[in-house]
Amino acid sequence: MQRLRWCLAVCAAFAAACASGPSPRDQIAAAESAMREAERADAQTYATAEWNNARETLADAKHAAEHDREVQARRLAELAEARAQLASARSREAQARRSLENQQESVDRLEAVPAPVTPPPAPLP
Amino acid sequence: MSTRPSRSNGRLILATLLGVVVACASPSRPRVEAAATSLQGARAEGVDVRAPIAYREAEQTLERANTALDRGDDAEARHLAELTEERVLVARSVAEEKQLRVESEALVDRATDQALASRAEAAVAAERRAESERSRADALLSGLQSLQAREEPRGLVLTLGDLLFDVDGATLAPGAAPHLERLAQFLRENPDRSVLIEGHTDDTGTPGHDADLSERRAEAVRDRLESLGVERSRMRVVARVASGPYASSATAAGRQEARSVEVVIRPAP
Repeated sequence: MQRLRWCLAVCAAFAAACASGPSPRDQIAAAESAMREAERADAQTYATAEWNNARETLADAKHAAEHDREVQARRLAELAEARAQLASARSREAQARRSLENQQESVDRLEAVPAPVTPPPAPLP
Repeated sequence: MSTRPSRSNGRLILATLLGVVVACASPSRPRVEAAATSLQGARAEGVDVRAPIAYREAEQTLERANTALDRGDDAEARHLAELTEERVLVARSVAEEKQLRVESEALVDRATDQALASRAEAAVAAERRAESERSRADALLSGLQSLQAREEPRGLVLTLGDLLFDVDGATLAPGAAPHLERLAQFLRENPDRSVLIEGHTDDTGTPGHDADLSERRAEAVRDRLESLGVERSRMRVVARVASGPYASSATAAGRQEARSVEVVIRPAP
């Protein structure tokens, strides 16, 4: 009996040490906040794949939380947060690239225009 | 049973510890190492400089993964390795966006510089053109000054006095040659100018004779200019009787003046 108790105590200590990190609820809230940020960055439009990936991961995290799989829920929520951040970053990157291309286009167009013709000099008296 | 752990209890604890450690370690080690490699690669490309916050997050996640690995928590290490990879992607993307913005600013700066430079260049060129135009005009005017050119609304007017012709004749005197050469040079250099050559006559004597003389003198000037390379089509000869300031022929001097030829250089069109 004593041995069993010792064994359980040791195992519990290890389990506690292994299961580090924030609570699943906090982590899901953080992921949701990152999703809202991605939405503001128009990730649905400019980083559709990353956006969908983040959304699905968040749904998995919530599902795990509902079924009391705490550790799995926390890990999935962490992943969902990172994926939502990736969606934001990729969306901003895509928009910056598009803007640079537009600028390059305008500069090219301007450079293609010939220099303005200067008016002829005034006639001599 | 004793409350103090026996020797066999101690062995059991050791065995348990060992068991847990073995169970936790380390199929996920290669994944953590791969994540570390990804992070290193990003650092080598300067992601840590362009996206320091995102890079730091990835780095901290990798530290957590290593801690989990040391602890023997294989599942957590595997999860954190995956999370590290994800955060390296975020850092790379943020760095790339930063880079694009830098390029974009550089492009705008360059375009602005170019616009300013070409505007400045145009201004300098225009100033230089105006300057050369002015100095050319100055040179021409000073060249024509020896011809005693005057500026009048109808153009530059040169007077070739009576003394530049033979007495009562239409032949140009030798003294007229340098004046007409300078005039011809001016006209050659200004092909857009046309010339009106007016022969003046006074109101004394036989009108036929003097009018005829003045016209012949004007024609002589035209012919000389033509022989000096001025197109005939640019020159027009007219005879004027007692006109302008030369009407005064009461005196000999007035009469002499009146029997002059005026060359009017018309303004450029």
